[in-house]
Amino acid sequence: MRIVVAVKQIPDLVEELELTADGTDVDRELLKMVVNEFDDQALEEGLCLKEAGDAELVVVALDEPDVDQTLHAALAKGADAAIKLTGALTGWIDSHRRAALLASWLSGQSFDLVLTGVQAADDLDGQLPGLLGAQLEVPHISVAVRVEAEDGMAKVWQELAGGTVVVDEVRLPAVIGVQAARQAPRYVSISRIRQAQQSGGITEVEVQAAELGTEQFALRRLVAPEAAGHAEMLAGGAGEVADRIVELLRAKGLVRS
Amino acid sequence: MTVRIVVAALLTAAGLALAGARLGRLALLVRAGAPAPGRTRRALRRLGAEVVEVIGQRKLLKRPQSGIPHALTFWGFIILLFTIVEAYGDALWSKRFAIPGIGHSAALGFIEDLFIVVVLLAVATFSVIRLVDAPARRQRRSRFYGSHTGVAWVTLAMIAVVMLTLVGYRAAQANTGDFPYGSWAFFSHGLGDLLHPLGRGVNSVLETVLLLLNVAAIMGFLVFVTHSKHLHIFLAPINVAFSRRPRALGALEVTSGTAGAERIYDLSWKHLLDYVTCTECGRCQAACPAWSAGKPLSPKLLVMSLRDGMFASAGTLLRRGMGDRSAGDAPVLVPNVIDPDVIWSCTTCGACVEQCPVDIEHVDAIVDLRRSQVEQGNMEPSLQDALQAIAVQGNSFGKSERMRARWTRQLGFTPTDARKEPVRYLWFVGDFASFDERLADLSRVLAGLLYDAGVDFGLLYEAERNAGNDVRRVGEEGLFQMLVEHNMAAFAGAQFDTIFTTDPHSFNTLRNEYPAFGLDKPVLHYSELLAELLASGAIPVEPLGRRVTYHDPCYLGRHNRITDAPRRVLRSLGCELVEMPRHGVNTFCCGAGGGRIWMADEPGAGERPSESRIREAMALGVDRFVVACPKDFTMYSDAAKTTGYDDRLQVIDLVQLVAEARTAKSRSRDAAAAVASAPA
Repeated sequence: MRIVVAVKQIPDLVEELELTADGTDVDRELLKMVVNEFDDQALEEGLCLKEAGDAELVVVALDEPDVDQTLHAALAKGADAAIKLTGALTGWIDSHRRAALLASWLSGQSFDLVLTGVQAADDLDGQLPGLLGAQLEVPHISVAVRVEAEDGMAKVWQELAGGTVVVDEVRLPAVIGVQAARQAPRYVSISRIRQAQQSGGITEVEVQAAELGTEQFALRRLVAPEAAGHAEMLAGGAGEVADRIVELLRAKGLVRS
Repeated sequence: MTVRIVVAALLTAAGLALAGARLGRLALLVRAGAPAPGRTRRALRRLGAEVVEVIGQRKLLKRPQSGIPHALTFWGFIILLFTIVEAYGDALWSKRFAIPGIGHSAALGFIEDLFIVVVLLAVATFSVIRLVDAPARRQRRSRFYGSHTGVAWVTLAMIAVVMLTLVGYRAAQANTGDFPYGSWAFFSHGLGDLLHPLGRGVNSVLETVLLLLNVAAIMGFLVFVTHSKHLHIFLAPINVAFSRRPRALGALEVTSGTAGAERIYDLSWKHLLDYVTCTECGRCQAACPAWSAGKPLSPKLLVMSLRDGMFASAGTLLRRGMGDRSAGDAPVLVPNVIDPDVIWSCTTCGACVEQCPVDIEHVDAIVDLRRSQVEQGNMEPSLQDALQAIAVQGNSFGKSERMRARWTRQLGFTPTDARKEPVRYLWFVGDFASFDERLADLSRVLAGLLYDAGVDFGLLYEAERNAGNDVRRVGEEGLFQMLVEHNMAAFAGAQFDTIFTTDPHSFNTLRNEYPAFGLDKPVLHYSELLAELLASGAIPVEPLGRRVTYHDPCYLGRHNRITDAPRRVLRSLGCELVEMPRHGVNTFCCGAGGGRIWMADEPGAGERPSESRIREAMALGVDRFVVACPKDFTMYSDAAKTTGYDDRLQVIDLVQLVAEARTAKSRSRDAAAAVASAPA
């Protein structure tokens, strides 16, 4: 079985994001880029699958800032190969373009399972797994919390609203959007990452970004969220605080009389 | 006489053969360990350690109750070596035997008798200590909990038998006319008087029987000792000779590389020697903050488990000891021999190492074991988060590295950027003092004091990273080295004469471990800098007249022996210092060191170390608990609240106390004035 895990870099959200002067992108100049945490879950589930049976695990990413670190970490964790897709990749890559780029490489590959994060900070709708499935013309399931594969079929535990878990069966090959791996993503020591770094291991493949198949949209402007007002702490005895709360609720028209 | 010679010779040959075979086997087991470089360097210093630690019994005498009888027993054994030589002379040679060159001086007879009495009294004292502190009754509070107490009783009994047979045959000799010493040998003659009525014939038989029993008891004891934890009689001087000098604290000496010690033979031979030397006295256990908090870690039980692990893998170790380095089927130590909770409970405070009379190096071994766990990714989630945050952003708070110096924005002046302008002092602020809101307040107080005192200091701003002391101690050696490389590059890009730190942990690694990576600048702790500034009058103060107690941070007081500077500060401030029972190098850990601050603190069966410490201070009748470490400030502020003493005992940083004394004297020179005069 051949498992491909698609991972991507997103800005570390502990950073204060700033917009570029023309307002069409976040300023990536000084941003620290880290792996999308859901992709890390997808990688962990892939590693668990590999350890449970006979599988080859390939991790693939677009050439985005600091991606080598992520790919080396994946290799150190046990991925068999790491592919970096290069080309004219600058700025923000939306999920349509990302799916098309990944599909253009994947279509030339044999694969049984493609795992990727169910969503990302810049893809909160979780479009990527679905778009990728459509591009590759294979089934797709998202919000997976466990994947098991056997005899050309995969069982996928899918977490639905209200905590319901559905177990789907899907014919392989398929694309799975992983919400959470069966266990927390493992820690890989810096010394192992450095060993992976020293032994190379990242294969660069140039991809063509041209044929997208869909009409590209144009991004006009990004707007930073307005700073919300600060919380007001109510001091004093319980009675005073209660009176003040009632007063506030009245003022906002939430309580009558 | 022939019977005596034959029996004594046979007994001795058997005893020496059995003991020799055992010691040879143990030597092979120990040799199977990994290399421990530098253990024979500086022979003179090692010789000095033998004098102070072995002959002087320095650490044992820290606990006088058991230390004094132990020292007397040790010295007694040395003196009584003469009686062994005499016994052999008597048994194998002639009844008129005398040690050549010494003969039968009255002084020797007296000293021998004196130490027979002393050793017997010591044995009685040890028995009382063991009865009073019986683990069966006192459970975990007993330092003997988990030790082989049966073996200890046998040991005491055997020592008593050796002494009693010795004085017995001497007493009989006094009646047969074979005793060469005069009345100064008071004990032998006194007992002889009691045996006198039995008549010369009986006394003659008694002399031979007791002499042979004495030889048999000595040989029995020899064989017993080499097979029991009492082996420290022979191994303690050897272990002390190879121990780390001046102490196995400060810099880590972990020989297992980044991969750590996964199996018993990955630990160095010095560690293996430690384990066979341990005599299970439990001084380490009694001092351990993890043990007192009811955690599964006892340094003593850890050592005993590793020794068990050694013997369980004896076959493999023997082959490796004989040079077959490929022999390897010993089990993985964690979790088979050591429970993971044991190694993760350690705060690396070093109290065990400080206490151990035979210089066992517990902390290095624990880090060796932790490394193997980190290498395999086995750790609890909160620690994993902290390490990942440090790897990405260089701080354990997971905040953006660009926010590191944000705390300076609320100052009325801008501290010099040491990357742009040369400074005398480079302030290595550290994660906690930079990112934690309450601790950043303290950093601002210190910054204001230094500014007003005209100290030429600067910061690295966002180029500073976690110094890596605790990263190294949780066993993430690769990340530690990455942090060192980054900080060394930052140092290279700045101009300064001296570094000072807020955090004693950063201080420890910068001072003791960075030199191996090329750092050649002196490193101070801010308490040392404050002491200097107060002494020179650069910070004018007015006496506060408070009664305070001071908590020595483990990494300042114990690991680095800096106990005087903070006390000088307190004296300069006119404070009356009331010491806690555990102070100076014997300080008690707050529970946050060695990376514990990043791990969940599940309450154990006992009281948290920080809470026990607050109670210790409450008993002194002081109203200020002075600290000199950011982690201590957090830990003890919390502990004062959870124990409900926060209304009577204020946890206060040394720098706050200095600010309090200064403000009283010169309000015109306070921070507000600094703001006004600060360059825009």
